[in-house]
Amino acid sequence: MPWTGRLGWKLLVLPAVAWIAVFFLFPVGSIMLRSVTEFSPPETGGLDNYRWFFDTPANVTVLSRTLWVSGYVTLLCLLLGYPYAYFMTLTRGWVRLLLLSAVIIPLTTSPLVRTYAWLGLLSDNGPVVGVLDRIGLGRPELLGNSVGVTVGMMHIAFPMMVLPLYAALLRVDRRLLRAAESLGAPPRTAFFRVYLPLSAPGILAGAVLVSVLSLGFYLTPALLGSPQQTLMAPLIVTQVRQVLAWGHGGAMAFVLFVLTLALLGIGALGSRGILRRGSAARVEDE
Amino acid sequence: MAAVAAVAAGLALAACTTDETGTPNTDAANPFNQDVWSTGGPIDYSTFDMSGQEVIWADFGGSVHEDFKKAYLDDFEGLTKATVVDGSPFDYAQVKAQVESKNIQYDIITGAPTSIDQGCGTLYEEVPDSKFYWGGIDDKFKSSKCAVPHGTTALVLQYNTNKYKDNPPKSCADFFDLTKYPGTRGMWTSVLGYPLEIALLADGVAPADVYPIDYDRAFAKLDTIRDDLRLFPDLTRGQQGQANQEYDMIIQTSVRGYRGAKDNLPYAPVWNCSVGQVTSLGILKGTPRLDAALALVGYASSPDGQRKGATVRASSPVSKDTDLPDIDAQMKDYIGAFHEAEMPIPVVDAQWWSSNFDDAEQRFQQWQVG
Repeated sequence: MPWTGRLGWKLLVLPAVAWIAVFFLFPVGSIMLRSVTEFSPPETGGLDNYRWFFDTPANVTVLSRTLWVSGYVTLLCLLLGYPYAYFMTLTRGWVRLLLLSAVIIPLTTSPLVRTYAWLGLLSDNGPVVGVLDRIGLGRPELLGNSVGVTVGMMHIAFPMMVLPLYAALLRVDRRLLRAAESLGAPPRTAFFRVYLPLSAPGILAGAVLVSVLSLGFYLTPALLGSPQQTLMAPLIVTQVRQVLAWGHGGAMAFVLFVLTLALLGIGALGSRGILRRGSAARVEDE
Repeated sequence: MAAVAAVAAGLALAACTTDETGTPNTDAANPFNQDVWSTGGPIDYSTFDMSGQEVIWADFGGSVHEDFKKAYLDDFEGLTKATVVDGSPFDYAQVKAQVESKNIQYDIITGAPTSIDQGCGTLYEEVPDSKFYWGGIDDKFKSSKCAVPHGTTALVLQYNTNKYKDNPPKSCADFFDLTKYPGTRGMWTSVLGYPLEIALLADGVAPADVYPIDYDRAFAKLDTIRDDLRLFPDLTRGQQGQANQEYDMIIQTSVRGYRGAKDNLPYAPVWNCSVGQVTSLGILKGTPRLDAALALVGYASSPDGQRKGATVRASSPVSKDTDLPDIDAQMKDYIGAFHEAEMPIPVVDAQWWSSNFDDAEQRFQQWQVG
């Protein structure tokens, strides 16, 4: 049966390659092409669209803000998600199911709907401000600033952090912790020197997913924040949909694309480092 | 009569080759009454028999579409037996993509005339005098051969009546006066929410001198309320904010203001601070359903369409000859035609906008993120 041979198995990848070529490579390629072929005055040719991008202070401000927001949303998701995922590994049966559902069920609802829900919850007359007021914390403004944006973005990104973390933590052999403690390590040392390094692949996977996702946020900062929280995506939308300057939009999208690739690259390098250290640790064990 | 029959046969043939539904219009009746079309006078669309003809309409969707359906589309279908397909929501990037790729998915879009004027002849069809009665529209609302006005709305200062009970704001200057009128301010992130005009009016510029826009002066004025300004990314979000009473004052469209008033939201309009704008129809360049599109565009902008648009959407007619009977007081509050004397800018300078929109939009965005 030739189709089970090495070549046959490789052919199975063809549909996926075709899919990516048609729905990913072609659009990205045509966006790139437009960034160097379509110009709106005063730009005329060459790399003018990129020059325009970096010469416009607002673009650079928003680009660095996008990176910064992506970074701190990732960190916050990790700080909240790690204990949560850890707790999930400790539970069994319906408790674990409940914890898992709490993370997964929101994924079945459109981000637009969830963002509008936050709009009601966080509004000046909404329940969150009401509760804060009743417990004596005053009536803070939660919308139109980075509080609302952070809450909304974390809500959408959280599952992307918890799920890979949970998968990674589940694989950690908890007997190693007991072994460490039996060798005299206090719990904190056991956690930082044994458990945390073993969970690193999950942290890395979650961090890459969340940070890449955060680079592309559009609706959430627009609806829950103010223009002071604008990220790259809304800026691209203005160029593409309002001004119809697709060359500008293409250049912006390509800059963001390169940044995303860079993040993925860092992730890949990091994981290689972790794997190498992991195998080194195993050699030491032997 | 023979000539008419020949034209009809020709049109039926054309329909055979272009109709995408695969059901050619073999009706012997004339789908588009050439006699009526060619008189150069008002067109009676009830003489059209467009059975089997399709035309695709697209607006911003949602409740906006429901209103247009009630105002024009249902009546047009009843009158001409045509089928109006809903292509909403549309966006201008899709218009460009469809025209460039010659794959037209909607025939008619409706929005501010700026984009239609900018793309006149390239993205949008010029409306021929032979198949459209331009006489039913006042000259001051016309902007190009491609943009067909069918109503006007206005961006109007609206204030929370609970907040400023006995001392309501009366002008654009009050919108910027945080000492006399403390509170949050709402504005649209698009420059087509006319923040520049509002700022200049507030700063004491005479309405006649607002154009060409003095950017530095406008942005300097906007700077004075930056900390209390809450910009919303689309008009729906602004409306939601009014429902939550997030804004003590807001620059919002009259049409959405009326919708809020119908829902008993505590806001009232200040027509002394308003900027009127035309709502236009544009036909996508290269549509295979051009004649059907022209008929619907003609109907929507006819006196009947303008009148129905006013009673359903609270838009204002684009012809001073269109009478508006049976409009209740609440609706009158939000229809510009009843407040023209108070309006500093009854209609924006369409020529200035079509040549300066790109620049103005980018400047405003930079001001926002800066």
